[in-house]
Amino acid sequence: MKLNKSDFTGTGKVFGFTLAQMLKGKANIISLIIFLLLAAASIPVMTLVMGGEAASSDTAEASGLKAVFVQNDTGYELDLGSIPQKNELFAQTEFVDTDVMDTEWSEDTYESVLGPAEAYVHLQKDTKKMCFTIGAFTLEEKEFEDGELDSCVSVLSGLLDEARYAQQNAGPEQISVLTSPYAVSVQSVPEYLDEKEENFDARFGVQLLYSVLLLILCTFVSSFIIQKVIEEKASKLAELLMVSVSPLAMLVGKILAVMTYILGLVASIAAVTGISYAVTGQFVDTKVLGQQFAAWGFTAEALKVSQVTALILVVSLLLGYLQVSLISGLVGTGCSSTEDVEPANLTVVLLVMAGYMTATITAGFGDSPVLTTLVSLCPVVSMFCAPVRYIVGDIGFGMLAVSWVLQSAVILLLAYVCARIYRALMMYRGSRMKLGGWIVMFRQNRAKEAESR
Amino acid sequence: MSLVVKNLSKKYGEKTVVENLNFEMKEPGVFALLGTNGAGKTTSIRMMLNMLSRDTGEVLWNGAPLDTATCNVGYLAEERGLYPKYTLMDQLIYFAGLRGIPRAEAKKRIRYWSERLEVEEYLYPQTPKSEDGKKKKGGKVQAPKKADQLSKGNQQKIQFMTALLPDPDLLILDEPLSGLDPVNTDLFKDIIRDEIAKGKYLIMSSHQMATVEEFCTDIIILNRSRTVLSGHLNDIKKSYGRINLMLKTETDVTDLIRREGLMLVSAKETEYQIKVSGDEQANRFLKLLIENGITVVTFSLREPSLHEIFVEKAGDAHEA
Repeated sequence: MKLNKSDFTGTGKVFGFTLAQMLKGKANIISLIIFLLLAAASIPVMTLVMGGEAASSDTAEASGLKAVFVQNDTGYELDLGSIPQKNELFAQTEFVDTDVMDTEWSEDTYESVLGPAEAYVHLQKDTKKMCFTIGAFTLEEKEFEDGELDSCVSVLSGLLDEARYAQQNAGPEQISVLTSPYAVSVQSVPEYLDEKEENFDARFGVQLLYSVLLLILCTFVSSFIIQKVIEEKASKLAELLMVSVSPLAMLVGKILAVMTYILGLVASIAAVTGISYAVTGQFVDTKVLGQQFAAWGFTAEALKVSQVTALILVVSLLLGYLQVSLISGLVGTGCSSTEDVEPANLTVVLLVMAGYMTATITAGFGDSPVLTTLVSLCPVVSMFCAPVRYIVGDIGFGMLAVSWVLQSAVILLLAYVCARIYRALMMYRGSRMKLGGWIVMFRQNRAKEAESR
Repeated sequence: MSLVVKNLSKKYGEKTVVENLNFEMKEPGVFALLGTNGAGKTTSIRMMLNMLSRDTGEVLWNGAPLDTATCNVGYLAEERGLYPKYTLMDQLIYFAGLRGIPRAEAKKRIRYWSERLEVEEYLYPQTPKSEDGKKKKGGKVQAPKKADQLSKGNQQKIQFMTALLPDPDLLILDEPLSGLDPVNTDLFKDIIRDEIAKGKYLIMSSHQMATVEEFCTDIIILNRSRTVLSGHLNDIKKSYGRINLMLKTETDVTDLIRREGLMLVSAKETEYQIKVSGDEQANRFLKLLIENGITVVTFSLREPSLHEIFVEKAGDAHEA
């Protein structure tokens, strides 16, 4: 059967109408509001549950330390003006070099000149012990936290280190390397010996996260598409519409409309989550979220966060979406009334669940090459597994590309079946058509076409 | 313009549902597609409109295969349907858009047809009015209706409107008047008359023989997938001859009718409907009545009605 351009005439109209009605639907509007509220609430709730503290301890406005008088007797020149860039806590704090002041500063006399929101820091070189000492002094009745003074001393010691390296002709990059922080990993001996254990957690975590996202997407999609496809048959409108638009254009228009709606929903949720994150960050320390995700193995490194990864995920999600939506379209059109929606949806959800379960269970079996190849190529399962296996490094881009080609072939096959039997399915009345019925209908249509040729 | 339906056939498995349907419309007018229930009328229409695949045959409009690209078709399906939860205006603009009618033009046409079909109140927001016809202050404006808020008849008007919106050259109406009250039936009939006057081609499937007789010039009668009669309605009637005798006398003539071997179809007091073989038998019977001193009040010879022809043809085939 050849497809003509005219088979898709009206797709845009179907798309526009379906999308507009979805956006006007009260149930959809209520769902959207609920999702957006959940997204908005999720960040502050998660932050608080995970132990996020008030951001006041970490922000300059809340800092009680208004001025720091620095007496530098080390012989190295300190760049006090760079402190606000190094630590936002001191953005509003004034660091004053005592050399430029008329007042004499010492450990014995500072109390007479120091205010309650001020500190006196004395850096000196101990030639006997061959070290540097930093002494920090405040009044007993001070108006800031001890931790702030510790941070202040830490920043000044960092400045001293940089000044020392600079005097030894180290460039900015070398200084950056020399002063960069280091991560500390505490592991037990068995954990250290079994290095794969950590990979397993990351693999399983990433697989689970992606699979759950795709599962939610597919479940939404199948439900929406079946409802939208059955709409004309249940409303007895199929005949009227088929005079004006081909059934295939109707299916494609609806699939695209549902896709746009779902993507719009996801984008809205992401935008609201982002805004919520930014707003929450003004009041609570949201770093705890990142730390918690990192503890679960969802680090930027493990997820290989990059534009290429994003592109791979988009392509994979698109292929997965098209497979599920075409299957949903066929299953939905095999129904004749709204009573059939639930069992039809269940059929698609079970199929998707089978893929999801296989993906998550096999993730626990490690990176066996045979299993990896199998789950990366097998239809339905591959839409869950292939991108994840690529991200965690089990397969290369070549294997991923083969998986995409196979998934595309499945989509084309489904589209071919749709093109052959979709018109007949639209006119079909009776109990819900199952796989056997599809095959019979497909064969009959093919035989008739052969006869007519 | 012309419509040609050639050798249209369809089978479901071993069951033939339409067998070699042939007809032609060379001129504008109304063509009636008649038949008993399940005779294959709707299937034929679906095949003509490419909704169902054909086993054999072709449908040509001006010599080219009929489709929406070659012919502006309007269709009122037997299965009446509208989206129940969407506003009627949205639906009508959508249906018009699918036929390539721009939004602004569609709105104009919807306004026109809604006035003609008297359904404006369901399509446009309604401001409450007081008894003197003025706008009521503070009254709540009623929102346009959705399909599931309409009566069956009003839904049918909206569906008829969808068929008329593209200003079709070929209008196919499957049971257009079924379920309508007399007032709305007249409303539909007026529109059908107007469409005929505009030179449109209409194909009508109906079980209401009086309506078909009122509008149709050519008919085809299907029974159990086969064509049992087709042609120009007047020619068909003429071919039967004047075989219906309507007789009214002053005295009872039942014995005379029986003695003459005529078939008495119905009798009400001294009013009789009699089946005769033709003019000759009727004249002979009239002579007999006069010879017997019977006062004849009414003596009228008529061709058979379409209803009778249909019952004879479809009934015969049923019995066979």
